[in-house]
Amino acid sequence: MVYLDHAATTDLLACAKSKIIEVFEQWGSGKYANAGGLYKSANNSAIYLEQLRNKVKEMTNMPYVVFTSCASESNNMIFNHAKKVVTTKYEHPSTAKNPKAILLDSIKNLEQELEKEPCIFSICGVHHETGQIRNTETLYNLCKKHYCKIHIDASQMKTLPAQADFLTLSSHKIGGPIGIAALCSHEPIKAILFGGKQENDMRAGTQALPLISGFVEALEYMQLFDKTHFQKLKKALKEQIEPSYMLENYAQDNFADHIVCLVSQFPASEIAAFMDMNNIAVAIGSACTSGALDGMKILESFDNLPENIRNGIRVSFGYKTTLAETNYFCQKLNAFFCKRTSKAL
Amino acid sequence: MKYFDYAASTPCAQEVLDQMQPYWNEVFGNPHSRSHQYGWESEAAIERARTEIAYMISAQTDEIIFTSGATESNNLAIKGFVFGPNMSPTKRKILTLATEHKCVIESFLHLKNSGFEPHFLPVEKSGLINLEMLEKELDDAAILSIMYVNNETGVIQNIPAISKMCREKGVCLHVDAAQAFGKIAINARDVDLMSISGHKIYGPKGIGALFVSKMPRVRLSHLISGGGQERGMRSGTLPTPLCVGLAAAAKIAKEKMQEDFKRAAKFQKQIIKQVVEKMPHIYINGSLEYKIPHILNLSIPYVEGESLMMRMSDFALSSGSACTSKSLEPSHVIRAMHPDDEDLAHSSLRICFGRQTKQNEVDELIASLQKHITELRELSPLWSMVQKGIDLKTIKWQDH
Repeated sequence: MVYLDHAATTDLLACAKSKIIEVFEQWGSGKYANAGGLYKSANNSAIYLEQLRNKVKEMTNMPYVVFTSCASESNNMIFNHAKKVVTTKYEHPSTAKNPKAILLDSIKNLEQELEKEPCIFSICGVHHETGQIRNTETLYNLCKKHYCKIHIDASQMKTLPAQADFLTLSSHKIGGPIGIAALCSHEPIKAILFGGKQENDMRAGTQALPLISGFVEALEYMQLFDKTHFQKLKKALKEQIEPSYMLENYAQDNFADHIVCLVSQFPASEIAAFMDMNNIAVAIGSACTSGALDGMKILESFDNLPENIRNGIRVSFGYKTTLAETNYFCQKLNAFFCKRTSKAL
Repeated sequence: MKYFDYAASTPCAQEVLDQMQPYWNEVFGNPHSRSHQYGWESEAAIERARTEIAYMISAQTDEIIFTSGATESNNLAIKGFVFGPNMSPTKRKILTLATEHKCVIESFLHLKNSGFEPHFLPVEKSGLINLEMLEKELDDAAILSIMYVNNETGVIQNIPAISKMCREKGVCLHVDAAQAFGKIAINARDVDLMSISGHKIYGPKGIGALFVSKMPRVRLSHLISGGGQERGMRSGTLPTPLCVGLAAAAKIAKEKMQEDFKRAAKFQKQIIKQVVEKMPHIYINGSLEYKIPHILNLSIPYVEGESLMMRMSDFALSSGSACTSKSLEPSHVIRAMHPDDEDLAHSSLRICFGRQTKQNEVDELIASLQKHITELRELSPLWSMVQKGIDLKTIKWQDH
């Protein structure tokens, strides 16, 4: 099987897996316990937890780090924290579908909205369906100019943004365990979940120490990972696929190397089914919206895209994706297009 | 370290870890991915897990919603209900007990800001709620949130009887079953909403579930919105290995329920015989009759709970629940059970027995308790006054 849907979720890194199992087992042998207790093993957990938290603080340069259960939870906390949150209608549903969200048609209209009153602008650093890289530095400065704050959902980013007021990190998108994420910030965050005093009163619930340890392991791995790996894979793909199928050729933006969106007039589900027959896993939109039939909504924001092209598939690479796998995919995709276009003629 | 804090958390069982293993990096697809086998396989594993959990509490598969833990389940049940479509706009009264877990109490307190009227009902000395009083209180109430088994005392509330009253009065019943699930047989059909935890039953941390009844149908507004997973009530990618782990732990808990219960009962009996009955002025908090033996809560007057724990640092014990014990406040649970005797709350000690508890550990615990209670009491001026027959309640303490 060739798995090319690493943006939906990726396999757990070996280093993260052994860390998780180690902590689970050490818990079993009495080294760790619920961090809320007053005895030694509970204290061990509390100390270890803060060590892990400090690592994330250092990586992100942010003084507050709250561990949550998923990026959706982190994003929802932003909406609970602020009176007004502005985002675009093409963001991940965990922001764009929030009933409180003020949706922009385009980032071009942002300044107009920021001028009105102080608010938080929430955006994905890398778009989860298209791989578009948002210019977070410019957006950060624009927000600052209008005394607004910026929240960057870095779930799909392989390099963390230099500056942000709030930052969502997801573990299972970067090779860490699923079921854990973080929200980093420069100020204490209002809680959604109430209860015990865990996470400095910002998020109640017993912390999942084994998962957090695996998550931090994965963050460290990602930071050290040689990102030219993704560049090479994308280059190979670009060399083999006709440019008209590459979404990035219809826009001025920069695009990430690890997420590639391919567009055509053929139904995405048909391409995905063909790929599945050939043992290749690709995505039609993001996993969260892939049940929906409306395809990739964001394609409507690409002005240069021909009218008849409204279908996209997403190919995303992981740390271990090989050149051979990429080539195999290209070969199959070309075969599909060849078959379909000749039929269409 | 001799671990006696199984109510705070349990170690993840090896069988559970083993069953989770393939879902970390073999069957690892996003269960919401619709376009490939990786996603379908994960989804199938999650649905199997859901069915197994549902089966244990006589629920239907789609009545189980996965969350990140019992705290989230409780928050979702309470806030989701009062802001949801089932909530009558004329009802403002919401009920819970004074002895609930902090996450329920805090959620209720927060709802005050939204115009709701939280009532924290008192309990009897036994820790049980007075059903006659409850019946009166249920009038005009929208929801009752109650713990099946109390996390500090182990007291079991009469959920079937309470359920009947709630049904008659049209009150939504939410039961926090974090300490009951896997320890005693429970039936979700009695309730509208029920919270379940993974790490209290030798399952993984970071996973829990909420039973949301479909018969009668209960609808909740979400706390976390987004992709619309879990019938729109809880968005976010489901963690396949953790869901599988929760189901595996639940299955083992069911198989070992009697064995676990008997072991705990044996150890509880020993502590009662050797400590409570042998030493003067030691009280068991909560009704022995309606209590699980896995949790034994003692009040040891004239001994500060914390000083005792510090002396017994070899033992993992707690003076209350893990969520609140760091604050060094006396237990709100024991306080609610004995409103006229503050001392009992200050000197409470929770002892929990679990699957790994060994006889020799219990023997050591008994010896250590006997030794340190005696020593600490000898240091206490209050104790010597009591020994001389002075009733401390008659003393007028002077403020300085």
